[in-house]
Amino acid sequence: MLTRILTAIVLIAAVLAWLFIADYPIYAIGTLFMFAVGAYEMGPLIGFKSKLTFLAIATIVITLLFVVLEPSNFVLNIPESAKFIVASGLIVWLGSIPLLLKFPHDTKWHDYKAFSTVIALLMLVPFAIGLLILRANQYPLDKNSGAYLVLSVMALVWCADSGAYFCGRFFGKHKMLPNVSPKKTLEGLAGGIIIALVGMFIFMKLDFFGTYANNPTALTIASVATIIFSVIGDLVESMFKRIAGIKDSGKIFPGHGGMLDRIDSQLAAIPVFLTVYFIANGELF
Amino acid sequence: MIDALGGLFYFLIALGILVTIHEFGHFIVARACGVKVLRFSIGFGPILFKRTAKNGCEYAVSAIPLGGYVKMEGENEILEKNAPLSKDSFKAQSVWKRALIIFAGPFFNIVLAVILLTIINVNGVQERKTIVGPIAPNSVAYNAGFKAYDEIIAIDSQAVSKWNDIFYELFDGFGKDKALLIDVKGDFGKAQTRTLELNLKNLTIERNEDPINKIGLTVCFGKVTNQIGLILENSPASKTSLAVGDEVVSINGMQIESWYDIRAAIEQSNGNELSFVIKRNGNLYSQKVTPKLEYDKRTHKSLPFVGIGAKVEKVEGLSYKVEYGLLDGFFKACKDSVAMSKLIVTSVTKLIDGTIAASNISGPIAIAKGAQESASFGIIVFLGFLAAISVNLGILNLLPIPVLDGGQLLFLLYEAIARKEPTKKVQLALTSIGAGLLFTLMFFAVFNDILGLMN
Repeated sequence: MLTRILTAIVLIAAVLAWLFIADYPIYAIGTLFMFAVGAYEMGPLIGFKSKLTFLAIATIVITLLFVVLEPSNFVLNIPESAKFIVASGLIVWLGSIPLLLKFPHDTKWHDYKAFSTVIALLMLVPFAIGLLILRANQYPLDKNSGAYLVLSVMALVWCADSGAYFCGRFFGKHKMLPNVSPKKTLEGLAGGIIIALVGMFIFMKLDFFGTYANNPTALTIASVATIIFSVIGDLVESMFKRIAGIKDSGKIFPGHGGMLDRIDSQLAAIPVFLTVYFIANGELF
Repeated sequence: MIDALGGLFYFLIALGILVTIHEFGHFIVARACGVKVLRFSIGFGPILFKRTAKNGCEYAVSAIPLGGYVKMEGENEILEKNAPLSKDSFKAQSVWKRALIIFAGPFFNIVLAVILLTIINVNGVQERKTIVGPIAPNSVAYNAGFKAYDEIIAIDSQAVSKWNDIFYELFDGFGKDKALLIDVKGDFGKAQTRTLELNLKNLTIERNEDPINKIGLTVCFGKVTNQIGLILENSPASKTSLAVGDEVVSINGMQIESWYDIRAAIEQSNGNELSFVIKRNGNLYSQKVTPKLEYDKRTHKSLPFVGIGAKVEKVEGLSYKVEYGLLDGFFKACKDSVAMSKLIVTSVTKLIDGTIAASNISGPIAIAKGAQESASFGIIVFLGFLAAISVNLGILNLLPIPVLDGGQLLFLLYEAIARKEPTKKVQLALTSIGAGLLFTLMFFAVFNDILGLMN
């Protein structure tokens, strides 16, 4: 228990330092750190015997993207291509819904390593690029504006998680997807959504959303989508772990499991928030 | 703390020698090819100390001791089209000369290894007969039919006479579909030859695991008896009447055939009382012992512990020293370097296919630890360590990853075939990928090291 609490304290301090103390390049390195550890843990989940295979693939992909997109320029202008890359994440989060509903049947897709590799890349890459886009918001004007934005989007997920946990505990009756995650209930889901909406309202009042608050309708739609899809992100990781027969994705955080266990919901939340906002705001498609 | 300082000290010595030799290779060949060398630096980053020679070359020591560099005239300059190249610049040289300059670094590392290994061989090498000790029950070797005191004489019809040869052959067999055919002669090589089939397909080597032990084999250091050879102080056994020289006949009514049975009985006790029957001076006695649960750092489990060790009877001729003449020592050193190089390439492929777990990748901390440990065994062992790291440095630098020497050679190969340099964009993308891969690898190596230190 003590390890769990100590790890949590260190983790929270590290996240706050990453958001509020680090400047943009250091923030980008922190993002790459999460990406790399996530990729390291992802290999076994998608059926690679060696952890290095997927790590190498992911490293090559993100390096090439950094060469092409030059994220250091995000603080001035977000290129259209970066937005499309973030949007590509939705392929997985939408496409995984039928897979989740059918689980534990029809898991044959997992045997195709090339297919699983693409899915895993679409889970990690849009997340990393999305984090860079969010943090860059209004950066030349106010260094911390983007930090509040990232924190808010992440906090939507934390609100949904804890809301679901407590509501599920007290009112939980109807199982949501017992085959994927036996503890999640529909009552919990509803509670999570309500708490997260309250959170969203507070963050809006506190003016945490930077320029994204200029279009309140788009922001609300994006936030609601984020809350719903964060649950899907969680479920998809659970599904991968069940197929691969792995309990914890890693052991980098003593008492809290691996990186992927910590960021599974965020993998969906970040790209969904941005993509839905871009579409609702008329910036994409 | 003193260990850490000692580790740092030997690490810096080892690295200093290896980096200097490597860069000296580039330097001397560049000079021989008529290229002007602007700077020869041990370490990179900010310069701590420098001296400029008459010919304009700067000799420098820089702050970050994890490498070094040789800066040559016109090496990285982006040239205007058709701008004249000065004759003593790197870029003005033919592809072959440039390849030679690049290749010289890794090559000098391997040359250093050969020299060090020659010294070691001339000094004399302690060899041990290829006889196996007790076989771990239910291990791969056990199921293949290995018996204690078998002498391994051939693997896949290739005669073996040293444990090193066996190590290389077995290591190569890990993760392969095809079983290894191993010829053994039982009873210290006196019995008839048997051929055993050893399949290592499903074995994965985790961090700090020795491939030979993983299979269930041990090196024979003598005849392991069922007699107690030592009793640890303050152990549960020391508080009983058990004494050195007692032969263990049974534990909890189970007949003891080999020391492994004793170990198994203790391991399965869960800390509950065990009743030993021992033979002393021809008489049987019984003695109860309650194992103590002790935390095992390697497995993170509490394991029962009694505190007795087996008596090992000496067998004559198991270990012998071989001293080589200068020429023979040199030839053996060359052969060993080739074998080590092959081992490195095999290791890399096995890391990629997952036969060796990624947790085996070690970084500077593990090297520092190795440097310190080997130095504590004396200068010859340290030289052996230095030779091994030198071969590693040489071969790994030849991997075709841009940023490394091998990557430069790859670009030159392209230039030789296509008769033009790869475009700047391609070079930038490939170099970034190489740097990204190496950086990630380095990160995990250090991460593994830290995990290794904590355990």
